[in-house]
Amino acid sequence: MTKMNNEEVFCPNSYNELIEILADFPSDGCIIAGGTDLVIKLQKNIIHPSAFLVLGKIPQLNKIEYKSNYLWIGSCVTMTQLADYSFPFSLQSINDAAREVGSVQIRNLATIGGNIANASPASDLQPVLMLLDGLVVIVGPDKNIYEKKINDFIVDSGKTTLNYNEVILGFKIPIFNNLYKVSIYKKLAYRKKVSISRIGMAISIDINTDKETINNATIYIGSISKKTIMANSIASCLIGQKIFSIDYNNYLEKATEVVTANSPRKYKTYAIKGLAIDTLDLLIARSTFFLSLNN
Amino acid sequence: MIVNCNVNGKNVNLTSIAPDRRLIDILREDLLLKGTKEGCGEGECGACTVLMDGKAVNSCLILACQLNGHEIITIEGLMQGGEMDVLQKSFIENGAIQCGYCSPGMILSAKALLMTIPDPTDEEIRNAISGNICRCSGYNQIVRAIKSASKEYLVKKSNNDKDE
Repeated sequence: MTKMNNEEVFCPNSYNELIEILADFPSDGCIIAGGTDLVIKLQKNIIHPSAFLVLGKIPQLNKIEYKSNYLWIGSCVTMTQLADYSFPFSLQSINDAAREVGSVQIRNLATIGGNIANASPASDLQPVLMLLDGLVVIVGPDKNIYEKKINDFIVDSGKTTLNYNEVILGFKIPIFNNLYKVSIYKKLAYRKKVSISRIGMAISIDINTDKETINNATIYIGSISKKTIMANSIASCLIGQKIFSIDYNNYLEKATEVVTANSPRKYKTYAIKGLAIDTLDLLIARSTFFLSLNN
Repeated sequence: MIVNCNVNGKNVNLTSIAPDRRLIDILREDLLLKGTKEGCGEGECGACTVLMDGKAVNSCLILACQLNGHEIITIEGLMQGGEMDVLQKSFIENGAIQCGYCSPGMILSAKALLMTIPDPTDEEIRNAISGNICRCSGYNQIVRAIKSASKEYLVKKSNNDKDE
């Protein structure tokens, strides 16, 4: 463990060292993964931590790897790693969301753990991890490792259930190898690049073995309320439809209803239509490509 | 705290540094490397871009306590034997420097790009510098300068390969 000649900075090199530090970690200490949000809070004097726990040197936290029935993404995996990783079609919404975060410079620093722990309503990863039934894996000072659904972990804007002496180790994403599953994420922002999400839409569909009927659909929408919401009413419009001849009318009507009911911003009730069309168009294009590879 | 890192090829040992001191402040005030500029201080403008382990990062968003063991390159580190880097020359030759405030960050973002994609398309160049704002709006000249530098790097590399 690197104790940087100062009692207040801890830089564990292993999981065991991390546990040791958490046992005595002060309640006003702060945990740094990428630091892109934290440094701004420090600069604005919003926080005054008495200790720093610097993650990033623990190998387990920097890995993306396939386990028997899930994908492991360590909490210190950066947006650049996620954007560049070759995910299967079912998980490509992760690529989409990571590519949409900030600039190249931000993506090289910002981590998935930080993105979820900050619980920003405008998070790009929050809708996607909820869409993919992701579990956050947490460890505390008692060495007890536990898992939570992202939806249960995020309580409100900027609030999670994480205690001061707990650390996110990573995320488990279930894998369904036997399904024709395709996912996508797209956001609406004020400009094309380096812009915060005003609405983020994540869609996942299961395609029947007939290679055209949508058997199941899930939709999550971010940035329209304090935390990402599940939009079953929109998703149900897609179920049973043929992928190449989807009727957009009902889908768009429901999308407008969901945004109107959840967001006080009137422009979003209009803007969702454009985003919903673009997202579905891209989903169809991705599905077409996926099916062409499985012919 | 003590920080050991490498800046522009030299090992640097910083003693008595506050853990929450930002990299940009260490570079400009402690190491007197004034080429790195501060713009927004929030990671939005890219003026403070440096390379950390070969990747472009905002030095205004990195703390001293994150620096141990890392390799930092600033705009000063691009000079080799008193000679400017191909990218620096190309920026001058293509009129890509107007007020010059964004130039160090812009050049380092371009450097990071060319280290991974030696012959980038215009779109790849624009993506790579999308986190760098030029308030003089000289983007066309900047893209042209990066394109021209990439060609020169390729010629140099090809000549070096022949010599070997």
